[in-house]
Amino acid sequence: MNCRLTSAGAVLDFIRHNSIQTIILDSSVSGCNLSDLIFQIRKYLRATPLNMLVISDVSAEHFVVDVITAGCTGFIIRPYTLDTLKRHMRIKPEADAVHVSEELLAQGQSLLATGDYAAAIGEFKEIVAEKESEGSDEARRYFEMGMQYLLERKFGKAIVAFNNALRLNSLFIKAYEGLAEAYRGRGDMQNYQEYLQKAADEYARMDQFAEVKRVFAKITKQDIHAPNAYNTLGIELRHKKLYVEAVHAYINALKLSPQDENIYYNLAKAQMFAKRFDDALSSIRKCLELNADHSEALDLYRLFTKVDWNDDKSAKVAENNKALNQIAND
Amino acid sequence: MATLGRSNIRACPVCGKMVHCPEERHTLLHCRNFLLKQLYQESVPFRRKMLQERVNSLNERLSLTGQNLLDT
Repeated sequence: MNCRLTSAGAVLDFIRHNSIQTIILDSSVSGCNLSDLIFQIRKYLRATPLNMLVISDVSAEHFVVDVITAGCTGFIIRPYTLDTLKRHMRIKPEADAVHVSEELLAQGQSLLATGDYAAAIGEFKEIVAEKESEGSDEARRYFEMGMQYLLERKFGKAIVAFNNALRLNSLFIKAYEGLAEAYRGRGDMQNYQEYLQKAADEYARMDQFAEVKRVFAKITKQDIHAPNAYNTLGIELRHKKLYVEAVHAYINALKLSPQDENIYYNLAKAQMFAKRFDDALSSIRKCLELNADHSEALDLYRLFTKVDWNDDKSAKVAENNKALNQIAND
Repeated sequence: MATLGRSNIRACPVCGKMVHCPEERHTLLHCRNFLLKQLYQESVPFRRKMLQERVNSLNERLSLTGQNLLDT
């Protein structure tokens, strides 16, 4: 069914009551900012695979960054040809690893519908097997690739990378939900709960990725002379209590500035709040090896080990360290 | 209405940030971050140079290097 709507409110209302595959948005939608509308659509449909194209007569960098980070899957500048539109309209990309897994997902879901739970479990497990066995995080890899492209102002590549991250997130959510349903069908409530929790974790991660993208977009737009946008991102995320994401941001920051003691200090702080005390101490040590006069790092080292850096450079985290636990829990 | 003279909000003599004295913690590290954020957003070369000099002077006082923000 094709439908043409003119306001943001009507679009949001429509998607609540209809199944959507493709949305084409004009840059001058009424009712709210376009990037906010895209963000709201993504937030509402979450794990639903969706083609969302923006056709725009505005190509200002700030605008493009906003709509990309909000979650559009294609950006077309007016005037455009029909071929360009068709190319962006392709819902299923060429056969790639994600596409193969998406086919497995469809098979699993149809087996689930017929009540063949054992076979469905086999299909779903094949999708999540690589993620669970090797601990490899393809979604994060694509996500970080997208952020790097954004920083380099390679917008087309950023869209593709962010889309792949989203597709993988959605894929794992559906696979975990499928596994949960299949186990419930077999009466195995323990596995049902476990996979439902994993699906919830993936949903949370997807929301975090969306939040990180928005913060990063703001930083890259405002702080145009920042030497290391990932460091600024890490600080913002740490203040938002997104500790895991903050740690990832600092690790990326260190790839750009490996000799910056301040980033090691910031990383240590994020690791401390994430309660990874040994990792945090190791980061403080690296900071002090680069700058033995770093007063904040010296204080943090004392807090962790209860000894001074100059007295013992290889001290371990003090046991029963109430002060540290209290700060980390704040 | 409180007059300006009675207000608890003061401009920091080092960085110029308006600080709410009893509640807001403000150290030289906060000054450094404040000036760095201005430096990141400043595009006029003359003003950038002035800010850079102030950041360098603070870095010297704090025994720090580089132009990355510190999580305070």
